[in-house]
Amino acid sequence: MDYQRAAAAKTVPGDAMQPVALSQLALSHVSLALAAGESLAVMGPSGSGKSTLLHVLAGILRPTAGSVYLRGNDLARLGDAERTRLRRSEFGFVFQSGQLLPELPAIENIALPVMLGGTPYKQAISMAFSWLDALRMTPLAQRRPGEMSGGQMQRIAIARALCIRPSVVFADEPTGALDRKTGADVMRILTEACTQNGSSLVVVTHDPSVAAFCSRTVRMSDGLLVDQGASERSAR
Amino acid sequence: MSSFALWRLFHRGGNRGFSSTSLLAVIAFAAASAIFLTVLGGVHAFVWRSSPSHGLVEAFSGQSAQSGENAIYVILSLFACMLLLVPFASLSASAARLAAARRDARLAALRLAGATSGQVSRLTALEAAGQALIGSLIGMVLYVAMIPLIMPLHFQGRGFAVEELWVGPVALLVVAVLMTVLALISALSALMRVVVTPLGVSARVAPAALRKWRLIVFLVAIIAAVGIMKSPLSRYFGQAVAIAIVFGVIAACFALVNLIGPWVIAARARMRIRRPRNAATLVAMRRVLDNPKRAWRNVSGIALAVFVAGITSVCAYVGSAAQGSSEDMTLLRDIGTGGMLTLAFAAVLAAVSCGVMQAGNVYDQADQYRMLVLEGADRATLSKARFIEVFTPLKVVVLVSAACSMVLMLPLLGSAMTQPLTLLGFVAGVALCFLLVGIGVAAANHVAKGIGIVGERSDD
Repeated sequence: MDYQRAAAAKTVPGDAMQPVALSQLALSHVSLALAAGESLAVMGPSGSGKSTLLHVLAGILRPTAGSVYLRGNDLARLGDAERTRLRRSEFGFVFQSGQLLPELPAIENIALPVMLGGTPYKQAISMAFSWLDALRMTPLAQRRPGEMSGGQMQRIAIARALCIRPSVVFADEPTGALDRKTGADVMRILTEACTQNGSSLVVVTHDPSVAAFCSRTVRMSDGLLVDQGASERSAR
Repeated sequence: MSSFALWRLFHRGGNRGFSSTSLLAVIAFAAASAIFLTVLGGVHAFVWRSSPSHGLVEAFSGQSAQSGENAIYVILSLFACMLLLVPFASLSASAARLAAARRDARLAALRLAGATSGQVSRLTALEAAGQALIGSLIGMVLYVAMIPLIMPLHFQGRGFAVEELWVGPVALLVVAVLMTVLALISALSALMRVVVTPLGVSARVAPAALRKWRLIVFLVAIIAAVGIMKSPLSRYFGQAVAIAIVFGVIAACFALVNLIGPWVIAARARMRIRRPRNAATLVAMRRVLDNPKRAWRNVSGIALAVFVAGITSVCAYVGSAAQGSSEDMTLLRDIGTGGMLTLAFAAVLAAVSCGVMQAGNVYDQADQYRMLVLEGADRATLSKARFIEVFTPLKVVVLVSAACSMVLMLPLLGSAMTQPLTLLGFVAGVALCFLLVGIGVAAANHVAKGIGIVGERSDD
């Protein structure tokens, strides 16, 4: 039941509905499945379609053809409002930088996604605080993003992504703005927190040392999935 | 490379965010200059009416009762002009700041690439000045378009003629130059930071709390003012002294309201943040607390205008209630009309100012907005946050200034204040403020719609 299948494919030339040249496709014939609790690294050169894949998986972009299943529901068929609700309850996001609101102290930045789901302020704050505590960052609670280091900001971003207890966390170059050692720290925290929470993790990265934290690595090139990784599951 | 060549480089187009902020700045400059020219037209009209030769000196040197009457109109219209200078200056400054702020990152990059601070400053100066110039030219067209709307308004018992409201080419030129210079100064001061540090990092730290002494000074001054008004001595003041005192009290109140405005707004925001009802309120109140002075600047024009309109609406009531049709009554009625007109102009300026601020925020924080949308914030929540961010300060200042003018006028005209007619006019004016500011924010929300949620990663 907790198994999640994700498959994204684009039209091939000759499709009567939307004729698109093969060279213009960001993704083509991509078939991928992600198990609950699995961590997956998506690697590949710039422009290979990694971010597009992530956006399609997270229901941000709708594929021109093909489908994306989350527990049997096709994301590509859901309306904008439903996908928004789904992102609010099922997905967490960690980006390279610039995701924390500069006016809000750390604790409220973490609580915000929970509040967006309609949880009252006090409850959201106490949930956020338990995550801060779990990641041993309680001294940062009242600091604002401008008063934190890059590594601290990413840790807050991780707490923020996990606070809603998502089933999948999407991370797009989460260590891109950090030095190697801090990056490794952040990745360890991210993978550990996801494991504890039972969340799946999808990390888009250029960096093999970041990918090494994940249980499986897939490679992309020119919109095609060229390497399905070791523990591949077949998508249906 | 010359500054002009750099400027050309930046203007080859193709960058949407860039051109949109330029457009915003131009709109702001246009609105500011159109309203300024219109008010200037009003001053011109009263000077024109005051003497056969239509000169300013003659308006004051005449000996007849008629010319004394005219001089009061000129003084009052100048006073309205001065009132509008505050929102006018703050709007132009925020437009220039918007022009500069958007360029922070780009200019910092230029500095890192080796451009001198002189080149960078000149480039920005050129930018802001250009926008101000274009804006004031559009403003002139708007001013001309507004003349037919102002003409039917009755002052001194008759409407305006075109030649009364037309300020002439010299004044137009002066306003355009003034606008450009003001934009230059604001833009350069906003850019000091970037020129100082090539890294151009604007670190955000917790803002310093506004001190309580502001409130204490304010309360003491209000009590003192009421005391003077109520004291038995006031009966022995001559008319001139009385007018001087009224003006003095009003001027002091401006200063005081300015003193207390940011503090009151911050206090109200802190109250609401203690237990925010929803995510939109949380974000909005944090924004206000991040910079209460900015929140105040946007609505300060309305604060002053509401204060004055509160007083003038009483005049209007007295003027219309009196049976006699003496010139004094006409004057009182006209003061009421003028006060409302000033309030309407201040509302337009504040609306543009709020709209520009919010639209600027949308561009500055596109990344964070994108993140919120990704995390499942629907756009309605974000739009709501923008409304709350502007309306909470607006409500606070309207309440405070209306209360202040009521308190001051109550001892003088207790009965008039409670008349439904007086209150109705006043409430209508305030409602207009809310409506216009709402339109300004709605426009900013429209801008926000244009920003997609799929951003570009900096390393791609």
